Parts: sequence; structure tokens; C-alpha cells
Amino acid sequence: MTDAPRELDPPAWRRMLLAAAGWVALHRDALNKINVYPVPDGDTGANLGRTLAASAAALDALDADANLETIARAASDAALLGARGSSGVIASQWLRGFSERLRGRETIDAPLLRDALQSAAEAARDAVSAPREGTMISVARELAEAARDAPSDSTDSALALLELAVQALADAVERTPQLNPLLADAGVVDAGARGLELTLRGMLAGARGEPVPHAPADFGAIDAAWLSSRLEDGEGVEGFCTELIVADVVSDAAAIEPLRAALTAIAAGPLEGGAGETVMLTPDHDRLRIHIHTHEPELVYAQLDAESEIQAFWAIDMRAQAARMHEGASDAAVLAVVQGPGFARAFRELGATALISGGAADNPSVEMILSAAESTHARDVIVLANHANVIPAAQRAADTAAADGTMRLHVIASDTQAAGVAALFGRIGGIPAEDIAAEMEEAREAVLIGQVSRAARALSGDIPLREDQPFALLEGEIVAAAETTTDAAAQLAARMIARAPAGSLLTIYAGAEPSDAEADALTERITRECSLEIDLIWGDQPHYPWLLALE
Amino acid sequence: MSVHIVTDSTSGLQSSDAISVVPLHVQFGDEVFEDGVTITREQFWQRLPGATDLPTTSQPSAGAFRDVYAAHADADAIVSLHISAALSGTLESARQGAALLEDGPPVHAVDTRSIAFGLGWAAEAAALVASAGGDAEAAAAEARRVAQRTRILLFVETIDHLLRGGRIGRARHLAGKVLRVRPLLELVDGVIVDIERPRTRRKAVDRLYQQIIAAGPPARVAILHGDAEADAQALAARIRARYPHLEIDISLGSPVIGAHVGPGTVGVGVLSPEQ
Repeated sequence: MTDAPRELDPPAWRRMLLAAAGWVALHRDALNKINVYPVPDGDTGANLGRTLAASAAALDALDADANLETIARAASDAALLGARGSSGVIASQWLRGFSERLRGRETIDAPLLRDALQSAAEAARDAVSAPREGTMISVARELAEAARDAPSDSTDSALALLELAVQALADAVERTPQLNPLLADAGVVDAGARGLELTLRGMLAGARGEPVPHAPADFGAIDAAWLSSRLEDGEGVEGFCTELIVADVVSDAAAIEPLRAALTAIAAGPLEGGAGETVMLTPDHDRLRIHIHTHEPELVYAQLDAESEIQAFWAIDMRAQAARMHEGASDAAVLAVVQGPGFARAFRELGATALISGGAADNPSVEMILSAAESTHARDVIVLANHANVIPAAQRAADTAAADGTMRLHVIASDTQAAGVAALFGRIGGIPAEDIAAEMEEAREAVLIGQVSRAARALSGDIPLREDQPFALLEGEIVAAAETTTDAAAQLAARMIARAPAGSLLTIYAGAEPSDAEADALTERITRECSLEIDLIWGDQPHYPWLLALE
Repeated sequence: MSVHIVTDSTSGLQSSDAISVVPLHVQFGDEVFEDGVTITREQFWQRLPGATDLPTTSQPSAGAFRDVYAAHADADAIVSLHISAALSGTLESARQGAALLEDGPPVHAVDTRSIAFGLGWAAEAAALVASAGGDAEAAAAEARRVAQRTRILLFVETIDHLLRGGRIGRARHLAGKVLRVRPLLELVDGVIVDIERPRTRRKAVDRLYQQIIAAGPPARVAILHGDAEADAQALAARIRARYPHLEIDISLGSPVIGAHVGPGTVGVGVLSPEQ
């Protein structure tokens, strides 16, 4: 046997996590290229890389002498929050299962490693309602079994056991095409499984103190004929990869089953599998992480909006991803920052290929904007900020992307969702991205937007406001105060209509607060008072009971 | 050497000595009409608003084509010019009709990848070549050139008619039902795609105008409308203000086209000058 240390200490564990992130980052594109299951949208490497990068970044904040448990918890928590895509969710669960066994321990010895690999495999398995063979989950199980069944002469050293287990994992990865016929047809191994192997190879290299290699390995590519026939059929590549982090839901297993059933009903099926295979619900302390593929991400938003607090929402059009990844589509993508399921639907229907939550009282991070933009696989991404508070973050994301040279973000300074919708009615294809962005800015500026909100505190002025009183805002000025939001909206509409040329359209976006009856009554009232065309839309937006757009 | 030109009723043409027009069919419930023959444009648009079942359309039969080809058996060749095969099976019927023909002249069936003015102007141009003694190849080539030089643009009041008829290509984002929109569409490579999404008719007319003038002075412009005379006139007035010498023909859409685009549609054919 080797003269390796019999146990892995906290600095070694830290090196292992960093190296795992490094190895996967190095192979990002190589993994993207072989992404077949569950959807060939070319993002396994990006998603897994982002998940592990999040955990590696969390280690920077720790003291140099942090103990095993602290390191494990920081890495696991950050991975859970940073997880993207199904491979990211499974990897984050695997890491959580592994980390749980390190609680209260000083070092990792061989028996603990065996336990942790077993716990990791079980946690990964639990992330998916219907796990299948030939995936990350099945190779994680084989990894744990290899460690469990290892001959006794290799069990006294954690490092030696890890070496042996990683070899078994690599063998299992090679067998994935025998277990999943899709992979055999596509001529590749499972990308997620390969990603787990790279994670473990990185850990092993980190434990040995080896540097990350300079050049990535090549894992081949998906058979072009197979892929083009798949993409032509649209089979398994339609819909949005949708993720949410929600708080305030009961997180015990029994209580989330009704939610799982409700989500499965709106899930889109992956390649040759049941729709339920894409539904992953992973409890994390007091939060729940949700992953689902669906044609209507706004339905997921609405479902969770009604019964919990949505902390993050994210949806990417997988068909558009695949077109850019595999078919050479080079058109600009549109990323819309949304609040409320109605607006999520409106932006989706207008052709946004990426949606993330953000707006009043919810600033999306620069990282979130960047990673959503990157997931579109587009060289040019038009970002509809849709709230004044979001514009700076979007601009910083654009600057970062420009400095990296990876992609170009064109930020549309829409300060309301209504303005964002107006911008998106312009052309979205056929011309250079700069021109699209310029036209969108023009369209946004051509629309007059009025907002109804409630006063956060009492205000004196020409129109004094009590705390919580409904008031209307037009071009930055308070133009009305009223007893009800509907009255404020009616006064606002009258102001706007007075400035409207014939043939104009007034769109009323009803927020989450007004009832159906209130919205219908307001629409009727405004229709009576003018000859404009009126369009009532359920935006379901929070904070602004009414948004009015005149164009 | 005599070449006869055949086209279908989506060209908007009426049969003449030089051009035979084979009608498609439009059907209200159980009643079937021949496009432009047993139902006029005016009758169609009057009937549409009160119709309980929205009209459907169908291509001419192979037999109808065979009969028209047979009636011109004295020609040396027939050039049969048709609506984009991506929009209708009419070309297929024409080919089958030609195959049914015994001892007739050779039939050159051409997919013009266009419709309406793009097809009508192509047929007229082909007839001119034929009358000047050109052969079938020359007539067909001229038809293809004219069809290619013709942009077909339109906006619809609602996309529902096009979606229901299944005659829509890339415009899947227009399937949305949330926001009111008057999609501006163009026939590109024989397929209808959305190019812009104005929300009001006023804006739609303006964007249509901008598209028409975008490539400089056109050689010819004609407007079709789905019972939306005022908008068609407003558009024509703007074009005339810019190009005072341009003659602009305005007409109601033909029944078969009308059944697919619905009321409120304004469409144009724009012929660019020869290079």
C-alpha cells in the first residue's frame, strides 16, 4: 500500500472541494458537448460547474483553521443555493449527504469515507422521484458500493479507499450507455455521471495535493445524425428548465408529496421518460428547492406564489438552448427579470428565453443575471431589467461579461415590467442585437407608464399621503391619492387618457392585490370614459396593485 | 410556339384568354364555393361576420387541373404557376392533374413560393413573355423572378385565423393569448413568419408603411384588406404622399385568403425595381 496519510484533515478536505470545482470547470465544455439526458440542452458542464463553483467560493470566507464540519456545511449550503439544472441539484444533494456525515468529526478516515459516500448516494437518489439507471444517481450508488465492498487491505487509508472507489466510478460511467439506450444511440456516456467522476477525480487529486491539469480531457460528442433527428422531432427538448427556491413551505417528506403531485401534472416529459422524472423537490433547512421542466413556468410560479414565499425563480427555454448549442442559431436571447406569474407568462409568450425573479424588494444578484444569460448559450443577450433597482445590477453584469469577453449583454433600462413588455413588442430577430436593443429602448420610451402603489410612510407635499395610502405615480410625480387603489388607478387613467392621441391602446396590468371583480369594474369604468382601446392583463405583480401603459 | 399560363385563385386574378385561373374552394358549413367564381369577395366578407362556423378552405382537385390543361391542348406547353407549396397542396393537385392528362402538352408546374400579388404579378409577367413568343422555360423563369422580387407583408387583427388554419411558420411566439397584438407578418421562402408585433392598428399601419419604403421606391404596390378599407386607404395615402406617381390598387382580399387571415387584415404586395 501507499504511504499516504490514513486520514484526511480539514485542509485536505478544503483542497479536495476546491480541486473538484476546478476539475469540473476545466471540463465544462467537454461535458456540455455530451449532454443527452434528460434533455440535450448542452448545459450539464455549465450547471455542474456553477454549482461546485458556488461551494468553492463559500470556502474563501472561512478561516484558515476552520474545522471539517464548518467547511462541509459552508460548501454544502452554498451548493444547495447555487445549484443549477438537474445535474447541479443532484450534485448538491450528493454533497449534502456526504457533508452530513462529517458533523462532529475532526478528520475523514476510511470508515467515515465509506459512510459518507453511502449517505451521499442516498441523498442524491432522494432528489429524484423516479431515478433511472445509467445516470449520476446510479453511478453514485456504484461508487458507494465499491467503497463498501473494498478488500480489507485498502480500507485502512482513506486516500487508498478513495482511489479504489474512483476507479470503480470511472468503470460505472463507461457502462452508462448499456443501461440507458438513449446514450448508446447518441454515442456518449452520461454527462452527469461523467461530471460526478470528474468531481471525485478532482477530490482525489486535491487530497494528493496535485494541481488541476492544464488541458481538459475529450469525451467525444453526441452523434450528429441522432441529435438532429431529436431536435427535429422536438422530442424531449421542448419547455423551460425551471427552478425555484421557496421558504415557508412545510418541508417534511409527507407534506411535500401533494406539491410534488401538483408539479408533476404541469411537468413536460423528458426523453423517453415520465414527466415526473424532471420534478425534483429538495428540502434544505427551512427552504425548499424545486427543479422542473415545463412548458408553462408561470404555472409553477403561481402554484408556489400562492402558498409560500418565492426567494428565487429561474426558467430557461431548453429548445432555444439546444438550437444555439447544436444548430448554430446565433440570434440574440432575451432575459427578462420578472415579478408575478402573469408577467412571467407575458414575457415568455413574447419570446423571452430566460426569466429570473427580481424587482421591488428583491434585487437579483449580478451572478444570477450572468448565469441566466450564460445558460441561454447566446452570444448576445438582451436584458430587460424591469425595475429601477435592478438596472444597476444588470449593468454590472454587462460590464463583467464585456470584461470576460464571453458574451455581450444589452441592458434595456425598463424601470417597470409594463415598460419591459412594451420594449419586447419590437423586433426580436433578423437584425443585429445592437439594433434590436436600440429599437427596444425606443419602444420603451414611447410608452407612457403610470403606477399605483401604497405609501411606505406618511408624506407631506402638494398631495399629502398617509402611511399605506394608495397613490398614483406618473413620470416620477405623485398625481393622485385615493382611498382605494382602484380609485387611484381611475384618476391615473384619466390623466393619461387626456394625453392620448386617437387610436391609442391603454393596457391595464392588474397586480396580485385586486380581485377579478375590481379589475373588471376598473376596466369598465375607464372604457366608459374614453374611446381608446383597453386591454386588461393579469400581471399578478406584487407591490403595484395597478400598472397602466399607454401606447 | 404558344405557351399558355395557368394559375390558381390565390393569385387574385380572373381568368382571361392569356391566363386560366383554377379556383380553390371555400366552405361555410356544408356549403362549398369556388373561390371568386361562385362566391365574390364582397359576398365573402359580408357573410363572414354572421357565420356560425368559420370557413375552411381546400385545394382544387387534380381533375379540375386536368380539365383546364385539356382545354388548352392546342398549346405547345403549359406553365402552371402556384401558391407556395408550404401553404397549400394546390401545386400537388396541379402535378397530379398534369399526370392525368393523356396526349396533352407538357405542363411545367412551378412553386412560386408566393401568394396573392406575388403570384398574380408572376402570372401576368409569364403571360407577357409567352405572348412575345417566349418558350415555357423563359416564361417560368420570368415568373420566378417576379415572385422573388415581390415582398408580401401583412398585419392581422388576430393570429387566431392563421393558427387555426395551420398556415404559420416560425411565428410560435405569437400563439400567446395574454396580450393584444397585431402581428406584422411576411412571407419568407414561402412560409409566413412574424417580423414585428405592433399592439395597435395605428402602429401596425405605420410599421407596414416603414417596411414598404425601407428598400427605396418600389416598382409596384398593391393593397388587400379584410374589410378594413379605412386602414387600407390611410396606408395608401401615406405611400402616395411619398411616391406621388405610384399607382396603388386597393381591393378586398379574396375568399380563400380571407378565410386564413380573417377580418381586419391589411396586406401588401411590394414589387422591387428590376436590378
